[in-house]
Amino acid sequence: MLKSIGVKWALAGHSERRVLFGETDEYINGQCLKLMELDMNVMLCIGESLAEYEQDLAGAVCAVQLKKGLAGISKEDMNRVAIAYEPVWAIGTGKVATPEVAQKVHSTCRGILADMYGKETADSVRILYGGSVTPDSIDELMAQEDIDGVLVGGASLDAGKFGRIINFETK
Amino acid sequence: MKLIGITATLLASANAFSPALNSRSTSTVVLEMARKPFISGNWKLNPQSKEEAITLSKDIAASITDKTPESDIALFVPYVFIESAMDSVDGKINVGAEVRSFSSTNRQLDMDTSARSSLTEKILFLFADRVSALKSLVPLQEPCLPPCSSPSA
Repeated sequence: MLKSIGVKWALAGHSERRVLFGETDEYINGQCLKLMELDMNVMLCIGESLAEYEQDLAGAVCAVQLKKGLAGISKEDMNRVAIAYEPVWAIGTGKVATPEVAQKVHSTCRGILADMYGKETADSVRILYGGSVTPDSIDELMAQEDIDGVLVGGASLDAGKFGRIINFETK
Repeated sequence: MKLIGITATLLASANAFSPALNSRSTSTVVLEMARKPFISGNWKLNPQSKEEAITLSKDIAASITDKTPESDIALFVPYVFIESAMDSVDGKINVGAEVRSFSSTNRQLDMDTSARSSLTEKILFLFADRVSALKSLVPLQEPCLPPCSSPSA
């Protein structure tokens, strides 16, 4: 249905759907595989809860969500996949993972992708950060080596703010 | 723009015609490949009206100028506004959607909301699933379902 009206990108695995609708990694994997089959692009959202973050489990949670969510997706199809790391504790809460904290997890995620697909593929996959991104935080986020973009929530409903985010400044 | 050195092997097309070709003998070139920035917005279940969705899409598209860093830009919008948003962004922005449901019976991605059923059971399953998966990766002392009472720092 979506493809027929020209939609190319679909979002899967958002934490609110994982929690509120009980979507499991297996279910999300089914969505991703279906999107691949339809020749569409998928943005797979991953991220840990506050408790998991405090227990230093961010990397482990991301490993599980990446490996289960992307199961069965070939190396060749990875050019139609983007990853959005959204720490659940930073979504809609105003709390932002510092760019350094986000960079560390992004780097870990790229390492996990390298284990799965090899370094070249991992280096080509875009990993976005999501979670209370604002015009104030965008430039520093985009300056991080492994942060390749952002998935913006609230601020994308304000053309002024999102416009500033689109026009991020690199130093 | 993030530049990464990538060693690309020129063998994919060559091998298609000569399967016996040893890939090790194929020359490699080093390309400067970039991960193109990707700026995206997730509207979730907003805004409240079609008119607002059109205005918002148009205003966002209008903020893209010659000075805007070269990026992929996408908006994930509610299903009902997809076509209005697409018509409003003048091809400058990808309009996408959040996958709402996946029915394994008819293999369709659609707006079916069957995922709402037995919500509690599924949430419990989700947590149980995650804990068991984590235990295989990291040695957890005790299975601890979030929210945990006192995380050991």
